Amino acid sequence: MGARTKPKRFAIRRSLSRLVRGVILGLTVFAVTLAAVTLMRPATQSGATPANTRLATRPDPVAAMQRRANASPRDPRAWALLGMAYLGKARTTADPSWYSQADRALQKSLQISSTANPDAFIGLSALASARHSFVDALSWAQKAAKAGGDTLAVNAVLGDALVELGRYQDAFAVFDQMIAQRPNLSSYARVSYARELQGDVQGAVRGMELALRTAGSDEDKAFVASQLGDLHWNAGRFAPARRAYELALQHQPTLVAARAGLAKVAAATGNYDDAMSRYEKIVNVVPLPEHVVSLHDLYVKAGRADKAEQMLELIDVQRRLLAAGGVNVDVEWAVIAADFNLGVENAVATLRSEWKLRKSVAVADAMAWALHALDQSAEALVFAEHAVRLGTRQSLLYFHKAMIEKALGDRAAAVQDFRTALQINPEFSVRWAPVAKAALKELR
Amino acid sequence: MLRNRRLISVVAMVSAIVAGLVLPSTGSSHREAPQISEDPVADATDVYAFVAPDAPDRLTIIANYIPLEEPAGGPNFAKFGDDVRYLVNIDNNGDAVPDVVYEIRFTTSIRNPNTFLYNTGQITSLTDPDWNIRQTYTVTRLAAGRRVEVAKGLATPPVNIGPRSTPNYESLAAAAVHTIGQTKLFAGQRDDPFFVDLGSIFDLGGLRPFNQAHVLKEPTTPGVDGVGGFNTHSIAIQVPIASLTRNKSRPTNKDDPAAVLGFWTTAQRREFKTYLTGGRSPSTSGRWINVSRLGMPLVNEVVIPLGAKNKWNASGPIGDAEFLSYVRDPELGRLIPILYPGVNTPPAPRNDLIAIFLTGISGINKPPGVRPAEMLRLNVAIAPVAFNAENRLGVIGGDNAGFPNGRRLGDDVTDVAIRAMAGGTPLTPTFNIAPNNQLGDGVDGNDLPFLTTFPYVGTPHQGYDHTHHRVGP
Repeated sequence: MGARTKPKRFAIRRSLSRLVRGVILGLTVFAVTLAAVTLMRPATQSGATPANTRLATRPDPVAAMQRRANASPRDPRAWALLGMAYLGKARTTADPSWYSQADRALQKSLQISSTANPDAFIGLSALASARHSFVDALSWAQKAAKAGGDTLAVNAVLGDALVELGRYQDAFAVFDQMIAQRPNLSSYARVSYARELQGDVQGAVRGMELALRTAGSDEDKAFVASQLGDLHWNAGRFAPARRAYELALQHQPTLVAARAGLAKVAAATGNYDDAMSRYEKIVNVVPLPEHVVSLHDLYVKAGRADKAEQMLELIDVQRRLLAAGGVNVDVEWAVIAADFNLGVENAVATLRSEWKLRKSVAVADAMAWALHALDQSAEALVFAEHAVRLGTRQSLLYFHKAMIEKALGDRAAAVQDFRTALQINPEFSVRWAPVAKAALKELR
Repeated sequence: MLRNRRLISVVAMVSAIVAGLVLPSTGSSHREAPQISEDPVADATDVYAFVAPDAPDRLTIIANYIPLEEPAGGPNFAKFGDDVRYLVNIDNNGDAVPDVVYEIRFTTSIRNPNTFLYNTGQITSLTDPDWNIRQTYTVTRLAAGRRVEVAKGLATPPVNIGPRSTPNYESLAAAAVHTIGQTKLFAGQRDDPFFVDLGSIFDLGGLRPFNQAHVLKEPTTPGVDGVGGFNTHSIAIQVPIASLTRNKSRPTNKDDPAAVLGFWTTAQRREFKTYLTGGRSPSTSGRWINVSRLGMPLVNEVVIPLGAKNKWNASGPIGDAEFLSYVRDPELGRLIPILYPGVNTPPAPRNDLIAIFLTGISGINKPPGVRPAEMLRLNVAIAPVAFNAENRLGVIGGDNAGFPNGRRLGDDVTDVAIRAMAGGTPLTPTFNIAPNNQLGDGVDGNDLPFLTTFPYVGTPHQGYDHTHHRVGP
């Protein structure tokens, strides 16, 4: 596995203001040192079963594709496949710096052949989706289809774009085409997501189990097992969730999503100290916003206001840095903004333009929650209803809706939706599940 | 001090985010499932069909799955797919429609759910309580519109782990050979009988013994068996020839119209759709969809272009006319003169390749009124030769009991296919000259011996001690 190049991590700084850049340059020196120390720690976490020997012997797909691209530097397909391999790395490592590597390889492929190059178009669509530019993702997918790309891969990226654009009927039709052509991990996992969105948790679990049994590589198995864990966790089934996350870590001991999954299970089953230390380890390496928020909530619960405040600062600095870097503030960010009352007006403004592009369940929910934070609960309710239009069994969707109904004084509706949120997963959030329980008591 | 430490950790985390370039997707919304994924347990690697010299009135079919199966595959050792429907198809009248089908379905049982271990002690028999994860199978025969269960609950052997877990492996495997009436069945891990220089062939069509003739020269060296040291999972079936032919006889004259049988395998998985219908949870038992098919070796790998592979794998022999042009004018046939300057190949249309790969060769394995389709065609009236008298080049080596008349374990299909592509066969006399009829990858045999009795495929490499990439013929 010698040929693996570390992704270069410096591109964003060029677009930052001079002031911010100066600060960051100073900080990065420190961060690199810290990251090095963190990475040198053994990768095995508690919960991971003994090392899988195949991890050591399997060829690294990135290295193989790098060799291929270096051997045939004028072959557009070689560069496109290298780009896809980098995207796979981003998915399994949760390290988005692989995206810029992917981008460079795909652009190189495009430079060699800009028209009849379906592989590059498929890769660029997948990359755009990964960066949440779903409109771009759709247009690249359509280009790939026109260029005669592999129908399964084209349909995969096409369906992914459509589903996040909120065009569910179109997306599901594409997923059904995929499964009719080839039932495998790619198609089963997507159908599972469609089932989940429609509130068919059992069907979603079944689909993901089918996907798991087709998986070949350890990375694929870990990815699917972790998704399966999320499905169980979302449904409040913590024991099967833990088993699925542990299985994922058996195949890939470093998979962040599965390590976070075990932290979520610990939190939901009342093992707050265990959850805290698991999240701390994750946040030290990959400070994904959702994990920082979870850790914040655990610190609050433990009465460690100082540490909690630190997390809040971290979140706020993230927001400003991302804005300075020209990175689109995301839908997930808006929910956090509303949670902590951090620049909600701006978040809503961004969401309104996002909503014009894509009327998805996720955007509707973020919109509802952010409007509610601005005391615009009447408008918020319209979006909250939109967020549950497919019947998705997600506690947070119903919790947000219930809070809005409570604010509007619709007691009966609020009681019903608080109940639904707690029925789906009684421990859906360290911070908000107790709020839901208290509200229910108060309203009854 | 406290203040400093706090600042440092915030700073570190912020910097890591900046280094990340973009706000990572949080996983709460979209999934980023891979666009392309492999499905090894449903991925057919090779099909063999032959009349074995120790059972001249029987037909043996071997279907292999799981490419390049690593013997040290713990803790989750390879097994067949419980969700996969494995089909062995037999066409007995040349119309490309299966007339007899064997359906094999597997069920995994876990004796002790409290351990993730495959075994908790030595496995000394197929009923050993220390063996935790085991698989049984059911075989059903479909013919003339009737389904008949041949056997169910048949044991597969454990995988070959090593001297501690699976001592006396051969006796464990032998116990998993099942005899039901006149039928013999085996399913389980075996040494992959295929041998080929993968490393050289997929490096711009390289053939190490001919490295000096290649447009990009390398020193001449012996071939390297890229499949050496790897295992596979085999399904082996042996049945009376008369139970498969169209007139229920055992043909003894090679010109008997019933003498040529066609074979191919399909692996299928169930469709699973997105829509909820009528307020009920949708059925999980959708249609069975083909995910792989295999008959003739190497057609899928070297003849069907990448863009058509999904379609090919989902199709059946009945529609093969659609792919005829790829065989009639194969890309590889045009590539050989470029890679090996001075080696000329026959011009399209390649009727020689159509005979070898699609219709069978006249006078040997072409059934009357054949519909061109990719399958392994075997004339069962051609008498088998003793194992030690087999010619690895089959028909072009003067041994009509071998490939492309069916396929035996030791047949060197790679060398035959390369020579056929170059026109180095009696079907194209002008091109049947050196070096066209001498080409080969330099790997002439398997890394392990085959068995002389059913299931014939060799004992699998153990996880504890095995080596890959054996050099030399």
